[in-house]
Amino acid sequence: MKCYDFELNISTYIAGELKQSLHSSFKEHRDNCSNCNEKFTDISYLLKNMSNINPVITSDNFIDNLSKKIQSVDNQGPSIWEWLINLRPFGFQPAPALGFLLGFIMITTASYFLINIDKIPNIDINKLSKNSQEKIPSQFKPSLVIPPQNETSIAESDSSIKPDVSKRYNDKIKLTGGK
Amino acid sequence: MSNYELSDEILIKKFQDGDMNAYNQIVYRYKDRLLNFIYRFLNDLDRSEDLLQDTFLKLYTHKDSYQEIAKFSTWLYTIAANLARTELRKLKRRKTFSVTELSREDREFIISSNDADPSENHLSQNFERKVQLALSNLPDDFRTIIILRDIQELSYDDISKIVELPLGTVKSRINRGRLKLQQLLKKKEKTYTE
Repeated sequence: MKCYDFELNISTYIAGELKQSLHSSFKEHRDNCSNCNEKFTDISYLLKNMSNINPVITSDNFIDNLSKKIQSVDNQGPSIWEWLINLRPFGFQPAPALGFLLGFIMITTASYFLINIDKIPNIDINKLSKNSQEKIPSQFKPSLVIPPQNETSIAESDSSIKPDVSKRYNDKIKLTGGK
Repeated sequence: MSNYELSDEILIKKFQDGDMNAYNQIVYRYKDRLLNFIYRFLNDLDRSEDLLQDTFLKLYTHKDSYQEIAKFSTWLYTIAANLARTELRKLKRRKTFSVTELSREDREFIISSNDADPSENHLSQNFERKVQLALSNLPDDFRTIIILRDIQELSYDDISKIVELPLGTVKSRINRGRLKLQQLLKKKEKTYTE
C-alpha cells in the first residue's frame, strides 16, 4: 500500500469498515512509514478527544428571549404575501378576482377611447410620400429600360401591320449531320 | 403518554396541529445540541445563541413545511446549518470575524478556572481551543461535516441528508477533513514550539 492509499483508508479503518483483504497491507504500511503512522496516531487521538469536548449550553435567559421573539412574530400579524393570499374581495379567490379586475380595467379603458376619439385622424399624404422618398438610400438607383431610338416602342407600333413572313421560308436549307 | 416519551415526528405533528407544549418540548430537546453545532461552526457563543433562536423561530413560522418523508432531526439540522453558513458568509464579508475574539465561554473559562482538577481541566480546555481554532480554519464544507460527525456524532446517513450530498462524498470528505484538521493542528503545534 502507498501513502496515498493509506491516507484514503484511515477513517475507514478507524470505523472498522476496511476490507479484510486490505487489513494486512494497511497495518504493514503503518508500521513501516513513520509519517503515515504519525498521521494515524494523531487522527485517532483527535477522534477520541473530540467527542469528549465539553458541550456548551444555552444561557439562562434563552427561553425568555425566544418567547419574546415568538410573541413579536405573533403580534406582527400576517405578512403582505399572506395577506394577499388570504384576501377574498367580494368573496372571490385571489386569481379570479385579479382576472376580473384586469378585465374591468381593459373594458373601461377601451370604452373611454371609443367615446372620446370620434374623428378619423387627418393624414397628410404628401408629407408621408416625401418622408418615404427621404428614406430611400442614396446608393439606390432604379433600373430603367430605355428602348433604342430606331425601334418603335410597343405602344407606338401598329398591330394591324403584319410582318412579311414569306422570306422566312425562302432561305437555303442547311443540312446537318451525315456524310 | 407524556411529551417526554414521544418521538420527534409525533411532537412536530402535534405542534402542526397547534400544540405549543409539543413545540416547547422540541426546543428543550434540541437547544443544546444545536447550540453546540452552531457554536463549533461560528466560534462565537453569543452570535450562535442568536442564530439558535432564529432556527427555532423558523421552525415556529415554517412548521407546515416539514413533511414526514424526512427525519425531523435532519430537517432541523439543515435549517441550522443553512443559517450558520449564511451567517458565516456575512461575517466573512464584513471581515470582522476573529478567532481570538473573547466569547462568553472565554469569560466563563476565566471565572471557572478554580475547578477541582486544574491540570486536567486546563489540558482539555487547551485541546478544545486548539481544535476550535483549527476548525475555524477549515473550509466550510469540511467543517460542517466534521462537526456533525466527530462532535455531534451523527450517522453518515443523517449527515448525507443534512448536507444534501451522496453518502460516498460524505465519507471521503470526512476523511479528507480529518487529515486537514490534523495538518492544521500540527502546523499550530510547530509554530508554538518555534
